[in-house]
Parts: sequence; C-alpha cells; structure tokens
Amino acid sequence: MNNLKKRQAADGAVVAGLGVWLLIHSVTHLLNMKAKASWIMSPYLFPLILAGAVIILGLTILIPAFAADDRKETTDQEKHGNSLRVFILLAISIVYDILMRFAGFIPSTAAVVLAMTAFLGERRLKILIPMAVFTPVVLTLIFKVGLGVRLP
Amino acid sequence: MQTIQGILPLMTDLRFIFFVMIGAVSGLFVGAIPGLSVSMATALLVSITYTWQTSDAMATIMGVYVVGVFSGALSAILINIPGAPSSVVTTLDGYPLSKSGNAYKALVYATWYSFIGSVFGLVVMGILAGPITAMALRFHPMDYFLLALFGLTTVGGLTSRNFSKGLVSACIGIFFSLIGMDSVMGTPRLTMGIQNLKAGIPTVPALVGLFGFAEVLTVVCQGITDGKVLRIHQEKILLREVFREFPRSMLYCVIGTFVGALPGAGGPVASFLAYGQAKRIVRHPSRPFGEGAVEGIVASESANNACIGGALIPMLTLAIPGDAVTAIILSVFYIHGLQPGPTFLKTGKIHFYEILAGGLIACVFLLLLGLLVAPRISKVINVPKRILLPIVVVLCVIGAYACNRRVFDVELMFFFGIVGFILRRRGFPIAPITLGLVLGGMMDSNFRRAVSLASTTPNPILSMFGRPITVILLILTVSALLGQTPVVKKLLRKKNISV
Repeated sequence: MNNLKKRQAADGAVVAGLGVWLLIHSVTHLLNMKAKASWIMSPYLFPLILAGAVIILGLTILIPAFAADDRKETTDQEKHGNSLRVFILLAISIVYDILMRFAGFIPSTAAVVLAMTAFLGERRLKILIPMAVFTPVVLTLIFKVGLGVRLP
Repeated sequence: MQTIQGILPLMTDLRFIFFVMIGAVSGLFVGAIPGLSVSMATALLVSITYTWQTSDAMATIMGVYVVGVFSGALSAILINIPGAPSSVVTTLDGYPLSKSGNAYKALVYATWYSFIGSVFGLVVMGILAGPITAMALRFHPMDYFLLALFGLTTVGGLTSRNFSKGLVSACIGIFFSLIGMDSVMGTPRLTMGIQNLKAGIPTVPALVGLFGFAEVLTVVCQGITDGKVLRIHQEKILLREVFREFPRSMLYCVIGTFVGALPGAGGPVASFLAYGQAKRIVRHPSRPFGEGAVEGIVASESANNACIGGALIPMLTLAIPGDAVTAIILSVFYIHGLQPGPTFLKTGKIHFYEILAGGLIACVFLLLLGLLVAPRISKVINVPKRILLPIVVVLCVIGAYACNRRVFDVELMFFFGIVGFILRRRGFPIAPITLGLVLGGMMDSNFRRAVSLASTTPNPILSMFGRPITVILLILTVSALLGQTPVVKKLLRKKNISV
C-alpha cells in the first residue's frame, strides 16, 4: 500500500468512525426518549440519517483505497508542507487568546503581531516595531472609533 | 418596469452609492491580494455590518462581492497567482499576455468583460427572480429538503476530485448546523455538555475560521512565497477592438449565470466551462490559447462575473445559496432579521432592490476602478505575506468577536480554522461545509415537518413524494448522486467513446 492509499484509507476510516460515533449518540438518545411515538419529531432523527450517510461515505473512501490503481495521479494532499510552522502559529494564536482575556486587545495584539511577524521572517526592527505598535492602534481607531465595533 | 422603479431611487441615493464605493474599493484590494479572498472579506463584513442599517450593509457587501470577484484577475494577470479561485483560468492567457508586455491590454479586456458579465448576471437575476419566486411558492417542506440536498450533492461533486469527499464536507457542515437547541422540541442537541454551544454554532466565527484563519495556516504551511509583479506599460487600445468579442461573450455570460444558479457550482466551474467553449468556437484566436489569447480572458472573466447574479437567484428566491459568498450573504440576511425565500419579493422587496441596485452600482465602480486604479496598484498586490498574515489573523479575531462579543467565538473561529486547514490538506473541499452549515437547520426542520405531515395521511410515501415538483427534484438529486458513482461514470465514458 503506497502513501496515497494509506492516506485515503486513514481518511475513510476517520470519516466512518465519526459516522459510527454519531450513530451511537443518536440511537442512544432515540432509545431514551420517553414518548416512543414521537420519534418522528425527535431532534435525533436527522442526525441518525446523517450518521448513516457519513458511514457510507466513509466506506466509499476507505474501500477503494485497498483496490486503488497504483498509477493514480498525485493529489493536493501529497504536497508536503511545513507542519512545524503551523504548530508554532497555532501556539501563538492560543497565547493570543489567553493574553486577550487578561491584557485586553491593544497590548495582546501588539505582542502577537510582533511575535507573528518575526516568526514569519521579518527581521528588521524598523518594520517590526511600527507594525506591532500601529496595527492594534489603527485597527482600534478603524473598528472601535470609526465603525462602532466592540473589540475584545 | 416595477423593478426599475424600485432601484432608481437607490441608484441616485448618495449614501447608498458611498457604501457601495467603500465595498468596491475594499473588494479591489481583497480580491487582488492572493491570500485574502472575497469569502473571507464578506465573512468579516458580516460582523462589522452587524449594527449597521440593512441597506448600508447590503451596499457594502455587494461592492465587495462584485469588485472582489473581478479583481482576482489582477493578480492572475500580473503575478500568475489568481486572487480568487474563479480567476484560475484567467492566468492561462492573462499572464502570458502580460509577460509579452501587454499587461495593460489584458487588464482592459478583463475589466470590460467582467463588467459585461456582472451586469448580465444581475439583469437576469432581476428578470428571473419573480417567476422563480412564483414557482417556489408552491414548494412543500419535502421540496425544500430535496432542493437543499440537490444543492449539496452538486457542490460535493463539483468542488472536489473525489465525490465522496465533497459530500463528507457537506455532511460536516450539516453536523455543525445541528449543534445547539433544537428549534422544534426545545432540547439541547449534540452540545457535548458545553454550555456555550447551547445557542448553536454561530455562522460568522465558523465562516471566518474556515475562510480566514484556515487560509493563513495553509499559506504558512506551504511556505511564504511572494510573486514577482510584471510592469504595466499603458498602451492605446481601441474600444472597437475590445468589443469585437462582445457577441461571443454573451454565450459565456449565459454559461456563467446558469452555472452560478446551480447551488455550489460557482465561478471556477463557470470559467472552466466557458474557456472550453471558447477553445471550441474561436477558430482564429489572436494568439494560441494558453499563450495569451484575449479570447480566453474574455471567456473566463465574463463567465465568472456572470455567476454573481446567477448565484444570487436561488439565494433570494429559495434561500439556497449558489456559492460560498452567497451562503455568507444569506447569514447577513438572517442577522438583520430578513427571511429570504419565496415570500422575500413580497416581504423584503426593498432589500431585493438594494441587492440589485448595489450590484449594478458596483459594476460601474468595477469599470472605473479596473480601468483607472487597477493599473496603478500592482505594487500593493505584492504586499509581503509576512506583513499581511498577522494583520489577517487580528482581523479574524475582530470579526469572530464582534457579532456576539464572546471570547468563546474567537476560540470557535480558531477551531474552525484548524478544521478547515486539516480538511483542505486531506483533499476535502471547504465550500460544501459552508453550504451545509447554512442549509443544515433548514433541511432538518423541513424534513421533520414533511415526515410529520405525511405520518397523518393514509399513504405517507405518496404524500411526501407524490407531487410533480417533488418527483422532479427527487430525480435530479438521485441522478446527481448516481451520476458521480464510478459505475455510471465508466458507462458514460464508454458511451462517449463509442459515439
């Protein structure tokens, strides 16, 4: 099984797994209903149908992975990317979320813009510092003062 | 006549024109800068325009939508990177033409035919909205359910190479739309014990995450590369020469409007189809296709801009969005307390006129900005991504927070950004998630209503599927589903070969 097939099989398995989870969740709620006659109006009727569809779709991705042609064309999924950079960016975003709760919009945005711009490759202080200072201030002026949008 | 009378006051209202202009100028930059998208900008606008008057919000959004779709062609022509997915085909001839020193010519053709396409689509919308609404008034709950299902089936098939993955994306969108308090029984559903989810998944943070933050993560993952902008030398181009392609552009406009009206198909499909037609019907192109043929630019740009009017038709008359942007515009309607659908032309006539007038005014701005400003903003298109991306992240945070003023929504936005990023990496398209998210609630309530109504009749199956409209929709949905199965595809291919 080549990498492409493995990825396809993994995708199919995850999708089918999610479908099974939704199926169990929906069936449990339908069975626990007090008035059995009202299953038609149950909020879990549609999720149950959706679960069935997701399982079938998961299988239609999973099964061909075992029979797929080796010469299958390269897909976008095969393009490699830098996952570490994504994790770092996500970490900065999480820190941003936490900082925003304690420090407010302007200081947290200034810190995060500085960190993110530097992380993305900008090394010149004459760009980094004005970016960090002006971005939150200008955005506050535009959104809060100009457009009346509430900021975090 | 009534429509013309309705839009005329708006077309002379300076405040309305001003808001369209703001949207148009924003659309020019947002559409032209790769990494920013019209969907992202519209999603952000939803939260910003939350407290605005509905007419101002509609005017701005139409400005962004119309000019944003066009300006994707700028970066396609100047740096060979399409600013929007619908401009991918424009790169095929636009960039080679620019490379040969005719960037201005490419821009002029793209501007004029984007203008013609947009006007055509909007005029068709103005004409067809009434008759479609009259037909939609006869729809029953099952018809709505099937129509939405048909939309999701087509979008699943058209947005991904793997049909199943497209449908999985649609199902994911529906799943998220079902989270929250059930509107019929009033009980929480799929909230997994999270108190903040009881009110459901708010559309705006989800859309901002899927289109904004996910895009940032994708760009960072792929590595930051900034394209090289070609120089523009203004040359004299005769209008007579430009309009030589006008008769053929009408065909591309028809293709664009029709494809746009199909739920989920959108600009990329329309421009590919129109380009294919152009290659077939243009016997003596100015240059070979793919090497700078203006006929290719004409086909792509008229079709993808004609999609705008087409996509708005099902959104306004049936509440079924034609593409991701109209799905977002639909959420603007809901936020402002409007209810698109068969009764919209009666109850919200003024807002229909606002959309139409806003679109037509935006077309004028498209022409002005495209001919006068676009050739001068080539430097701005190439804003370094290391500067642009942190600002986009902050804008996503503002957009997600602004609607409900909850930090939880910012966290939801990050969550949807990660979901969108992972799904994209694994080959699952994002557009069906948006449609599923917007349509899921409507599908659920209409399905249960249809089943509930049918359960009281002697023949429930006949009651649900016995009407002609329902049968047609059922046949369409089933054929859209079966048409994508490997067995049917193989059969069709064999038949084509034997023919």
